[in-house]
Amino acid sequence: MSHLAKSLLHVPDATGGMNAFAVPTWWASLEDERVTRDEDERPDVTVVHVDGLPHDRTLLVVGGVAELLTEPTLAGLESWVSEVRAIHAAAAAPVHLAVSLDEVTSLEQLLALAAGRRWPRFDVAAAAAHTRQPGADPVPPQSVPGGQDAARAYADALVAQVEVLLPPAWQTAADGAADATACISRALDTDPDVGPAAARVLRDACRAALAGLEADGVTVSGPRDALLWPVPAERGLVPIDVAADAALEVMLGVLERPVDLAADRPVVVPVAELPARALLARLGGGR
Amino acid sequence: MRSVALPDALPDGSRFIHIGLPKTGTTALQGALDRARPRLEELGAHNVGKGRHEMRVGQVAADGLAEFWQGSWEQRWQELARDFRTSTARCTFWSSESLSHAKGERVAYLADELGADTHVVVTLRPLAPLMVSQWQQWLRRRGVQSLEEWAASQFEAVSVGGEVSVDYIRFAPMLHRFSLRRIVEEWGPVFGEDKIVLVVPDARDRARTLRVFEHLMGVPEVLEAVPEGNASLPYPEAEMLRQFNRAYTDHDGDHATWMEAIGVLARIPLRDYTNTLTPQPIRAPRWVAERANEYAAAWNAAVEASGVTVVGDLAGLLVDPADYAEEVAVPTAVDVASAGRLMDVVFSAALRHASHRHEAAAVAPGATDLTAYGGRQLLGELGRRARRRVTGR
Repeated sequence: MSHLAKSLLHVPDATGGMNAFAVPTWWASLEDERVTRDEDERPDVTVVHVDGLPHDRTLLVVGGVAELLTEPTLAGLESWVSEVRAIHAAAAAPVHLAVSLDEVTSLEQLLALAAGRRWPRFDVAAAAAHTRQPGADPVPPQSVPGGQDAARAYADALVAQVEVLLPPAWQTAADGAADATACISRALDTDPDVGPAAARVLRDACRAALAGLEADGVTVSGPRDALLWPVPAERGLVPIDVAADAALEVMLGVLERPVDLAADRPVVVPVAELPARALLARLGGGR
Repeated sequence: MRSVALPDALPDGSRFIHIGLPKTGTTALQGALDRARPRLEELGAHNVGKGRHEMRVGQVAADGLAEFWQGSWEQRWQELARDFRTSTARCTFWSSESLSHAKGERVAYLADELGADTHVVVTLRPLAPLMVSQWQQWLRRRGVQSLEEWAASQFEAVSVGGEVSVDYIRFAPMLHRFSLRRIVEEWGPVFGEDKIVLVVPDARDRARTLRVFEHLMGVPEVLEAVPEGNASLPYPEAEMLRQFNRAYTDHDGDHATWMEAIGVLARIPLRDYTNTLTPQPIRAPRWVAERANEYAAAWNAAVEASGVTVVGDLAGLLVDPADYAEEVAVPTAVDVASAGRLMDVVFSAALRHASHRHEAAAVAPGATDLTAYGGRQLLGELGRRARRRVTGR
């Protein structure tokens, strides 16, 4: 991606549940010369000089919707949306809203999120190969047989398992599986603050709010379903549109990952399988 | 129209094609024909198709293969057509509902390739439940409309009189493709109305279609019902698939990705998933049944005025609207476990699709890393290739 000019990533300090990582001590711990701060001009924004972004961006990293709203009401949602709009209007570059359910712990992770990529990475080719390999350690299936509690326990169990040292292919497959299982788990509210009807209204309002922000020029990446208010399952049933949102997120969670790896990872192909023109180009000094 | 309870055996040396219609029990019939293949061959009935159903080959033959598909089915179609044309069996046949895609000049092309003396057999079903099945099938092609929206759009696209009011290139609107009037008008002049056999099902005797085909082939009762294995999704799960398609479309998802991931890679897992669910047939609301009856009645009139053979009672293609509820509630919730299983299907399909895409990118020119090879290695490889070309080895 070296053909792209250097861009500026503007990262506002932690505010209203967004950019929770962005505090002076964290930036200082990075000790990276690409990170700059102009205390006189923009005392509340850190600027990172990066390669690979198509244009300058203002980054807001957000987690689940419950962390963003001061209260689970339409007013709470409107308040958050207003804050994002205000930042978008005042910022030096358009806002990119990167949804990440993991805490930001490294600059590499931050830059991946800024580029609209997902984190953590996993090698989808290895995961697919593993799941097809006869006799391989099985990746636990993704069913949620007993309702939302089981789904959550299931996801927790998976997360615990992947921390064990295991063959990379198994681990990448399990990472993806855990990601998939977590989707429906977070769509279902096991400890609801609001009733089912109010939750549905809030979820619909969240969906409309995201569409409104995008219409204003805010871009969104990552598991956007996490920005939709969760709804409680009732008698083992889940609203169909919620299940569909989760299924789509499962699909996108896989499809959007190989892009992360393709650009950075060299692929070595046996020389006998390469076309002659590629060999000649290399001899002539090209890549 | 000639009406019979069961058809006579076709004369020795005859050939017939079974062109569907889709969702009329074709899978079960093709399964029975495939399972009885050795016995049928012994009895002089030769099935030119391989396995249960060579769907893509049928689509190539009928010019109904979606551009999305790429493969070597043309060659197989030519091989199959040659076998069909030149077979010396007492009775030769091929079953593919994909053939019902053929229209206009393509019907004449089929006659050229297969022989104009070929008999054409069409299995039927009342239109109201057929439309529900077609809607379900359409969901597996990324459909996003609800059953009632979809039905309304189908009725709007084709009038009872047969006028088509939407533009299309390859895939005719459902009510045009399934129109018995169209089949008589387009296939009749090419193959001869006297060679067209329409088979009306008997709701009380599901095995009757098997008996009809045995009679046509002039063989004893050798066909046995085979589990179809392609059960329809219960209504909540069908709605879940539809909403998934809607969410994917709202996300500006591209069609090629959906087709490979869900349409192809998830096809068998989706079928297996469906087979684990408690069947819950979807019923059309009464207005759909009434409108469908209007079309069916008009088509029946065209059939009655023709010279085709009808096996069974044409009136069986109409339904009693009183059996259909005025309104049918669309489900809004689905079992959590079922939702989880669908996610598993989607996850696995997406993983395989992403892996394919990754592998394709890896072998694409420019994506490979040649820095691993030194100049000597590259020259050596080019030299080897040059020598191979000169020596032919």
